[in-house]
Amino acid sequence: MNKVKTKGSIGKRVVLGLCYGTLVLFMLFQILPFYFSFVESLQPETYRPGGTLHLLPESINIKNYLTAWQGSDMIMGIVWSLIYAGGFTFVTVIIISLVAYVLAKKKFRGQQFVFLFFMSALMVPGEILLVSNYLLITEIGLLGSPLAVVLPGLVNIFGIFLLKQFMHTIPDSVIESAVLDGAGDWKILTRLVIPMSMPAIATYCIITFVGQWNEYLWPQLALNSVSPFDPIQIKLLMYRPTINGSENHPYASVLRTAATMITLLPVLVFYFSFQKYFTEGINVTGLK
Amino acid sequence: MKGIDIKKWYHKYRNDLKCYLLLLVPICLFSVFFVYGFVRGFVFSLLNYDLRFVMLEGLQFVGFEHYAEVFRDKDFLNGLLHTTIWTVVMLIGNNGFGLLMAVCLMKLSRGRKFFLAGLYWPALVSAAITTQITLYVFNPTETGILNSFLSVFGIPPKDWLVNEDTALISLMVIPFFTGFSQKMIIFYAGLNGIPKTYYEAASLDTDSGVQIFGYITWPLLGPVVFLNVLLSLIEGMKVIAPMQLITPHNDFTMSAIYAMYIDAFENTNFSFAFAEGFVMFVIIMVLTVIQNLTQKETVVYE
Repeated sequence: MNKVKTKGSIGKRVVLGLCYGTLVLFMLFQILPFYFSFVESLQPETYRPGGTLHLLPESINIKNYLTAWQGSDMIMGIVWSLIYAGGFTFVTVIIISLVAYVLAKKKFRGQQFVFLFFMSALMVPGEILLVSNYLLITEIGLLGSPLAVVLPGLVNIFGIFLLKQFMHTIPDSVIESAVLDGAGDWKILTRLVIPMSMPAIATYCIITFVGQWNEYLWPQLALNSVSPFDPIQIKLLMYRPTINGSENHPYASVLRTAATMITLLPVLVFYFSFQKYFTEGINVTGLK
Repeated sequence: MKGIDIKKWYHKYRNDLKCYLLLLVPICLFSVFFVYGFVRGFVFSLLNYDLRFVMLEGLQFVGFEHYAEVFRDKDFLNGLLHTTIWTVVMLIGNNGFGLLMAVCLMKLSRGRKFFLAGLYWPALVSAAITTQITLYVFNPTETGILNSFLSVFGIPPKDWLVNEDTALISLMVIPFFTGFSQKMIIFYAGLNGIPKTYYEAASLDTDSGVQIFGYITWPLLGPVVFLNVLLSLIEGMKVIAPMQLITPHNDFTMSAIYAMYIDAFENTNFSFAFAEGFVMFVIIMVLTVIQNLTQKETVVYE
């Protein structure tokens, strides 16, 4: 009896050890390319590759970061990315909570039809809209303007669906008593429904913000090649440093990786500040 | 008489009017950027809206000519092949590793949050950053990690991203091993949703982890697997960023959506691009329907 017990616990320990091992291994897979880029980004100007794999930089050169920061005009990229991601998130969250509130908590003729009308967009593929919205933006003269970057995606159907599901859990009696107290729709929405839906709204905002921050394809089309309004992602893609006229010079690669690290840093800081919204947010989205 | 009617009418529909007024801005934005965009895309796919020729020829209705042409277009078919390979590889890799990670996480009694946080962050890394990292890893000179690693063994540097045999594989390596984060989170939430009592009951009958996984975890995880596979299919068929940013205009990595992108924004043949877009749309729809049908055959015990 005793023997069986010990055997079981050894087996369990082996399984547990294997689990830890697998998790650590895959964490390494994820980190390694970034780690090597980080090492590369600190290499000195005299660095020449070949012969060995550098696990540590030859010497730590913070100066690379300054050169890359100035050369890529990253500061304007960050400013515009903040404007796009912040502005977009702010407006879209107002729009989708308004729509979700009306669809979840009001009763009116044609409600079901309006809901299905919005939901039909889940079928519409983004790549077709990419082309037709480009034509539309061109025709109404918004091509190259920052407004064109944020305008098309404001009505987020997935967000409406998610928030509507969440708002169904708010009891009708709460809203009825607010109506009896003489509150209008706008007041009910901003003072009652939005605060009560905060877990879902916060998750939506954070995911939307990062999504917009990381976007490159539509901004590139909407801004029409190199533009003063380029967001950070395009600044990174456009950064092609040359040393002695060559893009393949080892130090050019060092500067590019430094610019990459600069772009990566804000996302990592944002992630570790709001980490629980990313890894636990899925519970709010209704999937048990 | 009429005035009374309007008053009555207003009274009856006042609430409806208010609701539609609240929805006015969202409905307008939605109609312009989604509904109009979609309808226009289809209509234009039947015209000859190619900016290179439309001025000379005048706008004409050409019917389904472009759709027939799509299936003869070398770039698009080539792209469709690569897109299919990409989708299958990512579907297997990301869901396989995602499930493996989620199952391992469930076994832990300590450190779950740490590993969850440590494994999820690559989901937030943008396409632009992934591009730069991939370009660095597969750099054709000894600057690249892969070549400098191989140079330790005396193997000369190779141009991984250009060669026919290695280009597509090079694009797939990093996402294959590290792109599981989103799937892992969904699997993890799904595993947490399976009641503990099922496992307790099963542990009375068997000690085999494989049996428990096969008879309890896998069947109960059915809907979550379905969701993840569907997400992988949709994401995979739309792939463009690695092809466009890392290996632009490379026949060995061309994807279907990238072929569409080139036709629209570089060749300015918008009608043809719309036809390609609708072909992809139909393919994704058909895959979704097929997947829905297979889902109905699996039994869900709940």
